[in-house]
Amino acid sequence: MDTIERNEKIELYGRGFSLLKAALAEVPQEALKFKPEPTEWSVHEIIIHIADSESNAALRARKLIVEPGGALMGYDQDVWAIELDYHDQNLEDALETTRLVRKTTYELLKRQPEEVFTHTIKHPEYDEPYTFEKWIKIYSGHIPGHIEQIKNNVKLWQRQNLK
Amino acid sequence: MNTEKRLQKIELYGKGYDLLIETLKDVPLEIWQFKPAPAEWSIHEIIIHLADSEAIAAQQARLMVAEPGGTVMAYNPDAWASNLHYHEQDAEEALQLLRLTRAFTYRWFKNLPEKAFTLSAAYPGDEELYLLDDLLRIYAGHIPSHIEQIKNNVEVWKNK
Repeated sequence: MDTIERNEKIELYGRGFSLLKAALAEVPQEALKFKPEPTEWSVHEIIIHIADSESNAALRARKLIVEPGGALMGYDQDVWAIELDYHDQNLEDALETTRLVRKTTYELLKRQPEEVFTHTIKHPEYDEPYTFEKWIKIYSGHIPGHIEQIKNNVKLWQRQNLK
Repeated sequence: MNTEKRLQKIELYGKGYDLLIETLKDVPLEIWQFKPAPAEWSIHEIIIHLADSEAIAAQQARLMVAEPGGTVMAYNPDAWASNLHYHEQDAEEALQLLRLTRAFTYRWFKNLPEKAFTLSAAYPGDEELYLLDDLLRIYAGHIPSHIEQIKNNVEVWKNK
């Protein structure tokens, strides 16, 4: 990844929370807990997942910057959604957490010298080293990926409610 | 840890943020970046450390409960403070993150069944299992111990 591409992705990462808020403005309140399938997430669960995932991502970025060669914590996001009762967790707190971890991490990324982005770390789910480039690719696309999922949930909810 | 002691620890954990704010109210802003010695933290650095550390603890606790037996992430607080330029980070945002993270985890701890506190994870480099009870004990005392450090910074500054 060259500097231009990396900077574009960091900017996309920085815009993630605003994009999410804009998408959520289109979601009817009644559709928030609708699950397209029993094993698929509702919009509510997606929002809590984003807060947990973004908190972990922010810590991973800090570990990559400060302690390259160390090891990250892996976790199973589907197990967390069930075991941590995502439907019982507070949406507003989750959104505010996402806003703050994204903002502080975006500002941190912008201050890093070029050399830092060559750092790698060990991720328990990967045999090969987990690169900073991989982190940037995954998390710049993380919220946009979930926005598509949210839009799909709303479409399915509307279809069901028109029947 | 018996039930009564655990409930006391959970309540102390839940009060941590308010105790910190109460302490900071009496600290003039010009002291916030004062370092008692080059290798010691300023109040500003302590606040950013508390936010980072709280986020790590919250994710470690989630792993212990959702996936007991997993391995948590370890970190070096001093290396983070110097290499993440804590003095350049926003203390107000760090306080907000700390407040949100602690409030969530406190509510969650209060509703967990007792047996959840015996769940554990592996801690890198440590042979003993890291129990949720251990995490609760450590973090119930985390903010109070940093409050003492803050008070000490203020004393050193006043005596300068």
